[in-house]
Amino acid sequence: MKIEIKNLDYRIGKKQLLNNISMEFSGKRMIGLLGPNGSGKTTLLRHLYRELPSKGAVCVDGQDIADCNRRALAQKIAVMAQRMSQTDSGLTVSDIVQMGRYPYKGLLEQYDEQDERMVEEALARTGLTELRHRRLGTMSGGEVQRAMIAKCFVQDPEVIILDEPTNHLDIKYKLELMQLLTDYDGLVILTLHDLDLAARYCDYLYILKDGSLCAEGKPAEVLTEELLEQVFEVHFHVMRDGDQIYLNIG
Amino acid sequence: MESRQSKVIRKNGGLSPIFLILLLILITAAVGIGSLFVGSVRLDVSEVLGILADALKGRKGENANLWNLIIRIRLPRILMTLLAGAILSVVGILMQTITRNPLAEPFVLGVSSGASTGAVGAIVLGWCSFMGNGKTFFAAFVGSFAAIVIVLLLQGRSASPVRLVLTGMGVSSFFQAATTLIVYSAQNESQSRSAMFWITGSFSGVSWKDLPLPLAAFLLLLLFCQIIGKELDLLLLGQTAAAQTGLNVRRLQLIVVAAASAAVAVIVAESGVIGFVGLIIPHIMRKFAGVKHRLLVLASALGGAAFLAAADSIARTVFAPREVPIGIMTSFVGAPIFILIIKRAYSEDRD
Repeated sequence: MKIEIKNLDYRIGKKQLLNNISMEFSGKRMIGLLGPNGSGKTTLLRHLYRELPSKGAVCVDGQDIADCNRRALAQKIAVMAQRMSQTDSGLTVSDIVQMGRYPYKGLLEQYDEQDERMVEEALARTGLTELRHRRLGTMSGGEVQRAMIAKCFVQDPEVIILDEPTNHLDIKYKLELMQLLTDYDGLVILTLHDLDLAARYCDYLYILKDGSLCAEGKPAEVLTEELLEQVFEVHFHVMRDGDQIYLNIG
Repeated sequence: MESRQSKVIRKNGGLSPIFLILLLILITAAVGIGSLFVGSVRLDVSEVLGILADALKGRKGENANLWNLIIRIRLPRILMTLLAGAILSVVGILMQTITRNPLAEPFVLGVSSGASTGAVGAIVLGWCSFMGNGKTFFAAFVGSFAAIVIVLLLQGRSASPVRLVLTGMGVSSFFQAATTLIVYSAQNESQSRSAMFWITGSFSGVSWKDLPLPLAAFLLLLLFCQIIGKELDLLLLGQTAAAQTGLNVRRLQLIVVAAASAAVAVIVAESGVIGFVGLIIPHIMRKFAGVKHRLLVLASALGGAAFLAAADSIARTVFAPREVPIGIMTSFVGAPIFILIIKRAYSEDRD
């Protein structure tokens, strides 16, 4: 499984939202996209799940993403978007998690026992077994996030893409979520605002600013005081302990 | 907040799906049979049963008047109300799902009015006469399809439920005016039914020959919903999430809009515009059947059939021998529920 972005440009009117971005994702690791607000992280991800037209600049396993069959794509790539629909649809946790099996089902096929087993497993893994009959509209932000992750797991993809999955979560859920993703046996691509989490959990980072890629590499190589100051306009103290790095503001 | 929500968490209302459907079948059958007895002429149970028994044996009873009344007038009319109630309820669900709006409904969105304009245009002005006998239905379908496409295009990407409804009301008013204009333009009084019929609906004068098309439409609609139940469920996640899970949202919307418009056209061409059934019934049935479509559609079809048959019985008897237009009866119940849903949608917005 390989996702390639080659010279991706995207503009709305005169505003250049993405400027000549090239990236390549493969293997089993966690890749973080960092950058200040408006740097183009979400716009970039929206090209990866085909919400925005990429005119041949994004390829999945060598095939232009625009030509991929929607179901086949959903079998490879699962997405957890930033904005969950706010209205309460009345669906329960297990209903929603089960929908992760949709890309594998033909028109007349119904969800079967094997799907049910996968749902059970994903619920257990995300600690939602007890909440399975709860309606999503009645749950906390952290619980909803976990349900959406469980749906991604059930989709059994090679890549999970998440847009700011740790937003609105308290510190405990943040760590739990990052641990769930670290344990996932596949490629994880996510945007993060929290640099500490990125330093701690990501294997590789891309730093964006104003729609351009400023730096890429392992966290220890990329997260330098100069770069952080240049990109985020905040002065950090970067402390290193072997491969692990710690950031302090000020 | 928490306490209000937990009241709503009634997983299938504690009823198993099979029990729920059996219960609804019983209710619908009881209402349907009960409706045979009510009307401007009151009938004895034994008389009606005698006639029905004779009819089942394939012979006419001794009392020709009574036989006419029950077999030729009441029975086809009741069957039509059952079919119309079922179809309108199911179409209501379809529209609510593709617009993700609990207020969407064929009447509210102007789809029924569009169909009535088409039907009247075919009858009075000879629209779509190349379709021969099917011209009324076909023109009604063009009208309903045009109405929903206009509403959806005007809605654009806005997610505001109230905007959708206001747009629908505008489109509906326009088509009602068009229908009335065409009716008044008719040279020949007997050419068209009254403007009142097209705008407020009626089941009077339904005969057996009117039933095959609605019956076929109902069965196809039910089958259609059972086949695409999974896809409709997925749309409840929202269009973006559904697309990311592998659903071709545009294609599904187009198919559903076409099917719903066709079904509405069949009913409107037979019985005029009957509002709010598609709003009331799904709203109630979600409490018992949940939101997943395969069960919800079955339950709502049965509930809608019973509801409209009961409403029509009341319309026939409340000011007997005069009939109240059926659309007036359904609006009487439906409009308050409509307002209730708007009120709740707004208070949820503020939260």
